[in-house]
Amino acid sequence: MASDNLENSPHMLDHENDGENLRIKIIGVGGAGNNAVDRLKLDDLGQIHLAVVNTDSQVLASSPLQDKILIGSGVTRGLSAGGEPDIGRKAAEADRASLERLVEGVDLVFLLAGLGGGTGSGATPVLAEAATKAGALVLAFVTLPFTLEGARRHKQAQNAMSALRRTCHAVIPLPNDLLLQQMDEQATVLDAYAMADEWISRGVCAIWSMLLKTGLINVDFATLKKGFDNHGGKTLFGLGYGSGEDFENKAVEDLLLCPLLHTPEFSRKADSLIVNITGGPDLSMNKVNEIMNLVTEKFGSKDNTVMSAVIDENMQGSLSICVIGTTDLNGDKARPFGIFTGSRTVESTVTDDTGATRPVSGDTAKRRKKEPPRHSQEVFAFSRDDDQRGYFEKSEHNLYNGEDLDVPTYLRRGIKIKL
Amino acid sequence: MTKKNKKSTESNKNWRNIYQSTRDRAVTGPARFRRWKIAFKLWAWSFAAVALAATAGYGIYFTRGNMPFFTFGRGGHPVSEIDFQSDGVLDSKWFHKVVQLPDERGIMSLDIFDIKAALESHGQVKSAAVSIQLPNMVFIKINERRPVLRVRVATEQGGVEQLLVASDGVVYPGRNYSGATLKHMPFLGGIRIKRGHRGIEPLTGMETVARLIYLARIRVPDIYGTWKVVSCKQFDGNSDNPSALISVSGSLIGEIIFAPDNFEAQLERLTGIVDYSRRNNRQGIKRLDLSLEGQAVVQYNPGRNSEKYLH
Amino acid sequence: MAKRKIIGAVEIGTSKVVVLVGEIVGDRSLNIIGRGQVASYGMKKGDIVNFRSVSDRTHAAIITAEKNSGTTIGSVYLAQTGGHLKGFYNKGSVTVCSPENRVDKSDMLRAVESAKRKDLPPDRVYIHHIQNEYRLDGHLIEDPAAMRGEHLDVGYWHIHGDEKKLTDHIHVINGMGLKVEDVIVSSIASGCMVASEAEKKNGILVIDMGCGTTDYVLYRGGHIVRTGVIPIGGDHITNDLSMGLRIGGRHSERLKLRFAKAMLNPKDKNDRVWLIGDMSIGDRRIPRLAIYKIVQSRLKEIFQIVRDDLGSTLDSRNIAGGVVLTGGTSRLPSIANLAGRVLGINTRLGKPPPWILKSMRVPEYTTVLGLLYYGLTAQRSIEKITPQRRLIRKMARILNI
Repeated sequence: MASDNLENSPHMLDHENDGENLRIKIIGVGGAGNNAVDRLKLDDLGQIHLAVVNTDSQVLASSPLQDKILIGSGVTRGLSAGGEPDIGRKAAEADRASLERLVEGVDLVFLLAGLGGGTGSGATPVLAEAATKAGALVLAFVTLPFTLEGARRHKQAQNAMSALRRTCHAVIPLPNDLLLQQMDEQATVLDAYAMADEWISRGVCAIWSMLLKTGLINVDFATLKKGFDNHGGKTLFGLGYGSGEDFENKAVEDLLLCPLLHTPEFSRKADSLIVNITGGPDLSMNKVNEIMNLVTEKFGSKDNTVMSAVIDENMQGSLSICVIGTTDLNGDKARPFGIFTGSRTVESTVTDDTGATRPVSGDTAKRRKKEPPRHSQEVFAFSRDDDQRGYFEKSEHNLYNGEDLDVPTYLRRGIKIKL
Repeated sequence: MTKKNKKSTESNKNWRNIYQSTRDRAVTGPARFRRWKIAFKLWAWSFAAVALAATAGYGIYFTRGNMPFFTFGRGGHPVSEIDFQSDGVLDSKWFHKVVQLPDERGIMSLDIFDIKAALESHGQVKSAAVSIQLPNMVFIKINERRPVLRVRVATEQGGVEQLLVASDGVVYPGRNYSGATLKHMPFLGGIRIKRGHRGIEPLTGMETVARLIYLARIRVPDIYGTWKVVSCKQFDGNSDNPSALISVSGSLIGEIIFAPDNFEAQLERLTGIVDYSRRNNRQGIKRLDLSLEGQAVVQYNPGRNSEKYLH
Repeated sequence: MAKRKIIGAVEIGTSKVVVLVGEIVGDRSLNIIGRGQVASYGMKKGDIVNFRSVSDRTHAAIITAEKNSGTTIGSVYLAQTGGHLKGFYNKGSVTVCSPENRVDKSDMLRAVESAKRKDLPPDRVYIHHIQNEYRLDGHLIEDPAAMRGEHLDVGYWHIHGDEKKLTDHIHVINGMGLKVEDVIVSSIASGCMVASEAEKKNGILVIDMGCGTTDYVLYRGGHIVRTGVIPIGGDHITNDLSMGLRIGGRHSERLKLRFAKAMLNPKDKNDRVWLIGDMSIGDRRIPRLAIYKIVQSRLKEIFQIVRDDLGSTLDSRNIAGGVVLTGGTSRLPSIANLAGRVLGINTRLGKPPPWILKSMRVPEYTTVLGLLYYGLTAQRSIEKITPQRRLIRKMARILNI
């Protein structure tokens, strides 16, 4: 039986009571990263610590957070990295010791950064490396520059992405081109930046709520960590949200319409999949089963899917679904999870309140309020830049004046397609 | 198209310098099949061409009797020389008597198989080899039968004919033998001549008789010289038959009875008895039976000691 | 006896592999006696991405064509496209050194030599050296032979490609046991089908929009002045639709064929079309405007790239013949209109010559038809030079091998 394995697993023993002990840190790197952390809409931080890292002392000073780290004061003299990733990297290397202290003893690190600039592109990989060495699970949410920002920034972002993929457990890229697609016609670039920050925060929320909220099916940290075993692999990240009448179906439909989950590229299945459903107290086990079956069938297989279903009292009458998939870049078969699988697990979770399947946190009083949805329907899609090439992903890049012509023109030109 | 001027020799950086290999990784199943088909077609065509040429040549060879491909100078030299060899008594005179070679005909018109068959139809010829050496020679090599005995046979016309018997039982009219050879040759008696559609059928048991004759000729030539008739009346060719006997009648000894095996011992005894008789001045053995193992029955002419057993 | 020559024209395209078997009887008549076509697999943007399956498909097409024609192809003319093809213009200059400054053959040859004397990077090989105009003391001259002058220039447009990719293409044909007689750049093949000699003289731009690539060739004064390949084609439109509308590749291809337009009809602005049309699960209504925006932005970009590539060479005063579109993607409604707007030159759809079989007179076949035409005409000139080769060919013909 799978749960036997779990009880023998060192991870499991380490985190037997991890609901209380789990240390989560969200670190913003560079200007965009700092903004994202500042704007995180977390009402109740609890075990979550926020921190910002930057080369620019002025930006740091304006941050309301306590945990601020200025890096590379010897390199930049407290000024910005000037859009040079090399300077950003040197600054981070110079203050590696303080970065290591920052991530010491942390279980889960979220790195938030905007790639393409100096500090974000240069320092984030260094920090990611330090955090991974410290034994943390490192997940990076990064924004990618607009095509119209120019080929140079694009190239820098690509390089930083490659570096991050080597060190992080998962890199979830968020191309600004794609974000703009989700906004209405009048949206400006600044709106798009703000939108990016908000979506990052929702992505982060979706993950930690799996760990810290009480629900029908909970995921513990060890399981989550195993889900991200495949270093350097492609990630797949999609969120669907539904509310009001028939909210369950709306949420599923919303997820299925997620732009990048529906490119030909993504109809392929992920090697391992984590699915989280967050709903109100009216979320029924039947519905959870139904959605789980549908989603796992679509994006992976039951054998390698980790599921969680979380109850949030504020989500009455609404539902959000989060799908995270990882694939193995090296073609090694992903280690099968074999722990919480299929509908059988769902039943056993409800009835069997021992060991691994126990709700992670006993702290039911600490119910975190989710931010009220702004739109009745919203789709998130975070993808690696490569995924924007769809059918042409495996072919040579089609560079022309610094643009990859395989990426749809409407995306590169910021032409909004209303469905 | 004159605008495009592609020269492969000028630059080694031209696509034409790419090595076009037909044996490489790119070969797929259908491609392989197609290649085989083409190779087979080519092969079949060349085979057909060769076969056609061969058939044509063969046809000319046999129908026209003249093969322009193999002639030297004017078509078909006439046969100018015949090399006849025999291991026996036959000579080229005989050959010309029995085989009529067409005159003036080219050598290629000779049917050597016909000649061979014609020669072998003679009982005296055991086997014949006929070969041609271009431009104009014919080689004939004959392997003859050796006569063992003479036999008198009634002809179908009612007369009597003297024939010869070879060791393989073949009965044939002898040719070219010297009178001396035949004069001392005993006759074969006590046999039944059977005529088949190819003449007299070979006699059975002649190997045994021939062996006796052979041994007698070399061991007891004097006695053999007096032999007149070898009778196979009581010998049907089966040496294992206990009652089989070969009897020889002659001028010295009226009748000698041999068992059809172990002739050496019997001839030894024969010599011994004849010597003994000579030493004892006993002439005129009427009958001598050597067929009994370990002993002989000697019957002298009447008036003398009529019978004696010698051990 | 009428001379009968058989050649094969092979275009390994991104959407389809087409093989034509052509026969030239006597000196005039040119027949297409066999055709083989299979859907392509393993090609993207005109490049081979899966050598094995491309070989399989190509060989299947050749076998079909041979069966269809009842003959065996001896040699192959191969179309070549892909983003790796590049071209450059190079001028060869010599001082006329013949007596009396009259240009003779050797001067012209020296000029040609010097035009071709340009080294390529290590992994590049020349495919075509295309001769352009002669200039004698700066004056444009059709044929300078025997003319008086001091300085002779000859222009050349050189096309070169990646050696490895070319080798792959050639080896696909070699795998069949066939030899590649000549490699011809797709745009040139297409160009000689849809542009008449007069148009080439007056100047014409032919754009062949295929599934994986867009190939163009610019003629001026009867010469090929520029060629180019943009590795964007119909597949990109399908992929764009797939991503933009969040639908599968199969649906987006169908949607493209049924509803895609280069220019939007104003009355369709608020119209929606059914994705599948049978109202089954997953069927939904898609705004025409979305389809149009995605398709138009892509097409516009393609024409813009053509325009930018040609730069000042593209001048409506020099291109009296206008722009001609061909290739499968040129079937998109009102595409000529859009191209005309972007390029600023009158644009129309190309028409293959009327002597071609009606079923072949579609834009998808322009390249392979041109290839065959090119092959047969080239063959004719070769035959004249080498009579003994003709004899061998005749023998092979008789034996049907």
